[in-house]
Amino acid sequence: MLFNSLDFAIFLPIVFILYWFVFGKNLRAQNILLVLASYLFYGWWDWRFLFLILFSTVVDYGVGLALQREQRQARRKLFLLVSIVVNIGLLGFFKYYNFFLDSFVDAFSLFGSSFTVNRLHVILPVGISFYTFQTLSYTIDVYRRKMQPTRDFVAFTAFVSFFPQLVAGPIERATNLLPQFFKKRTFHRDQAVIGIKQIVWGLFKKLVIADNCAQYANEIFNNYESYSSLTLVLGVVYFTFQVYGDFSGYSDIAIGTARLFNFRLSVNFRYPFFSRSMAEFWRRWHITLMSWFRDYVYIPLGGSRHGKLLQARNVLIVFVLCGLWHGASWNFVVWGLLYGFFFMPSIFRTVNIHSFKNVTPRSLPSLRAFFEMSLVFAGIAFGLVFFRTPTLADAFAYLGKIAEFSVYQGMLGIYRYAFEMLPLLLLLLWWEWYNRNKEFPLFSAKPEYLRTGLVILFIVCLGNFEELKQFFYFKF
Amino acid sequence: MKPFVKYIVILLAITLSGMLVLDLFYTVVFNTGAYRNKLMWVRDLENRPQLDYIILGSSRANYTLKPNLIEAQTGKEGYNLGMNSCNIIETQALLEEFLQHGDTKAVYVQVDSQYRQDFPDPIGEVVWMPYINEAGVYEHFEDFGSKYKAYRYIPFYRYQKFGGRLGLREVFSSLFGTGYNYNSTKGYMPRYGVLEGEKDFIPDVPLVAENLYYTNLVRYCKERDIELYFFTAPYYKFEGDIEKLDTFLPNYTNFSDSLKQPSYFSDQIHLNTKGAKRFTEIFMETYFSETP
Repeated sequence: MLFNSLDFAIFLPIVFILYWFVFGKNLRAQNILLVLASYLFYGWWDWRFLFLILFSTVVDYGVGLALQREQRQARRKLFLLVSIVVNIGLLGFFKYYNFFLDSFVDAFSLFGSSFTVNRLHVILPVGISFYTFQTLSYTIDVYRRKMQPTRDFVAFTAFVSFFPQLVAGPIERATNLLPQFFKKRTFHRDQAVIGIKQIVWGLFKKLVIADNCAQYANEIFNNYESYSSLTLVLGVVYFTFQVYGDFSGYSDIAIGTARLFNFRLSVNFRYPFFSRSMAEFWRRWHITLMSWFRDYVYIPLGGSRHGKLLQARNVLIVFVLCGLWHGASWNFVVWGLLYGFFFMPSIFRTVNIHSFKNVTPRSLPSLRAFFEMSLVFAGIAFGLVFFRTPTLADAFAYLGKIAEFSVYQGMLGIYRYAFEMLPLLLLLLWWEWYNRNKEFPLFSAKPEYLRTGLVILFIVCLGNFEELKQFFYFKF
Repeated sequence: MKPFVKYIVILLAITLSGMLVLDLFYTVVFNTGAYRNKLMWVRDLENRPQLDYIILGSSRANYTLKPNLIEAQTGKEGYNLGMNSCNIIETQALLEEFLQHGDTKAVYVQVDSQYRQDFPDPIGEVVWMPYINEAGVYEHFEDFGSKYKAYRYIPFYRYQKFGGRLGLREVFSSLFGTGYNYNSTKGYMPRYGVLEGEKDFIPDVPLVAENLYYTNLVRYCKERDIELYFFTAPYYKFEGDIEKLDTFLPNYTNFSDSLKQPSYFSDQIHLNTKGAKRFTEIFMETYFSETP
């Protein structure tokens, strides 16, 4: 079920009414309702994958309890290993089996051996990368004794499958989300109103920004041989905003929906295009994934504790894994590596802006800040060429065509001017800039109806409703 | 909970009011603005033109026949009302729309392998959507699914659903006068470029069944004493049983093989300006040869 579909527009009010009006006084009944609703939401794509998520839930629930009972360290490690092998094994099979098989064959062919293998026709279950990481965080945190495991199977199932964030995050830590299933929940009008505003803002980013940018970006990337350098640059800009609008829009809708049920999910994006260094960017973009890698990969590898060279190595490992997490292809590996290299100046120059607060208190950024933000944007957009193109050869051909510096042609094959999305993107940036101290631009906006109503009118008037478009990150 | 419900109701009211106002605004623009398609032009025809003929059909009519040339050589006045992706459903609707604003003695309908389509064309239908809340327009589409009911009764939905071709961009273009001057060409739209490289034959699926919507069109014209002719415009290499149309349609002429040189074509199925001139001459020889 898609957040931007009619199905969801019917589903959400029904669950909301049952949750507050029918089961409002019974916490356990509310949790059972959330499990049923989440399984319905997930099964809407393909009911067969429900068994997969249930299997993962049962294994991690059991491992959590076993970790609590067992005091011997070696046995505890073994239990943790079971959880890791099962979860990563499922992910590996569904997502990476064919990729590793192909790479294996290619590697042998380099040495003159050639053989054929049977590829499997594997369908990637929606959101598997997200919920796998979420359940892993539970068993790892229980192993590290950061939290007590739960004996409440319903609450644990609800935690793993909580529908607002099940298929594309934010990737919640058990330490943040799981305890919320045990607290009595009362309805707060202000929280619910903020939730609605965040859903509206997310829909704006998805339907107005992402889906419209996608139309232009798809045309340019799919026919890049026919276009001039400047048009290809515009294509990269549009794709960058498409990914941002799509993914951060999804996160906003997820967080807003959770608020309607009085749950607080983690912030996933904090105005990333106002970052002045790569280090800052990755603390503002897909925050829950990067913090997951930080806590469960980067720090165990040694983090920044053993000198800059080892720190650089650890950063590169994290980014390669981050690339592979996004997709099973060499494009994603190169994409991750590139961002890892872009990160290096922050390490060696010790430029590492920690603050999430004001980019600058001024109404306009200083020239220096503006230059730094532009540089970060350019680096991110450059890397996204590898993210968007189907093969490495296409990525290099696309970049090669940009380097030709050919003359600008205004029209695209879809009979649109290539530049015509730019005013809308500038409007988005302007809106975000003037609200950059808020969690999202409509947060506690006064007067209460005016801005939200205005954004709704933008969606009605400029939203792309021509076909129902999946969220980009579902394929990860 | 009550204040929250009130909040939701107000937001829904804002959304609905916005949709109503926008629907009204867009519809007014598509009724009064610069012509963005031939339907707008036809609906705006003045002084009820009395024509000798009109040409209907898809892009293969639109880019193919030049009424100014016909008028110059034969004195026959007519319009080329071919529109891209116009199917039989849209053709019938366009003929009826034209007859509300003018008269014609004869109708020439371009038909080819699209004969087998008996449903609205997903692209051809778009130009009709601003007017679907008119009963006369709606009746052409109502048999083809509940989505047309939604387009008719949910304000602004049709403009959202076809945002690429009826959205804000199109409204602004129409509002600020960047339309087409159909009066100067009498509806003919030039297409440029020359077909390059050797092409394979376009294969076709056999025509097996009669299309009742064409039969209805024949009856409709007969009842109004309008002469009706069907023809197939030239292709650059085409294989199929297009001749079979002769068994389904009255007054049918097959011109699909009438032009051979690539220089007449802009692609395999469309003529360029040079090809349109040449084909118009062939068309005149066939249909208007007895008129000085």
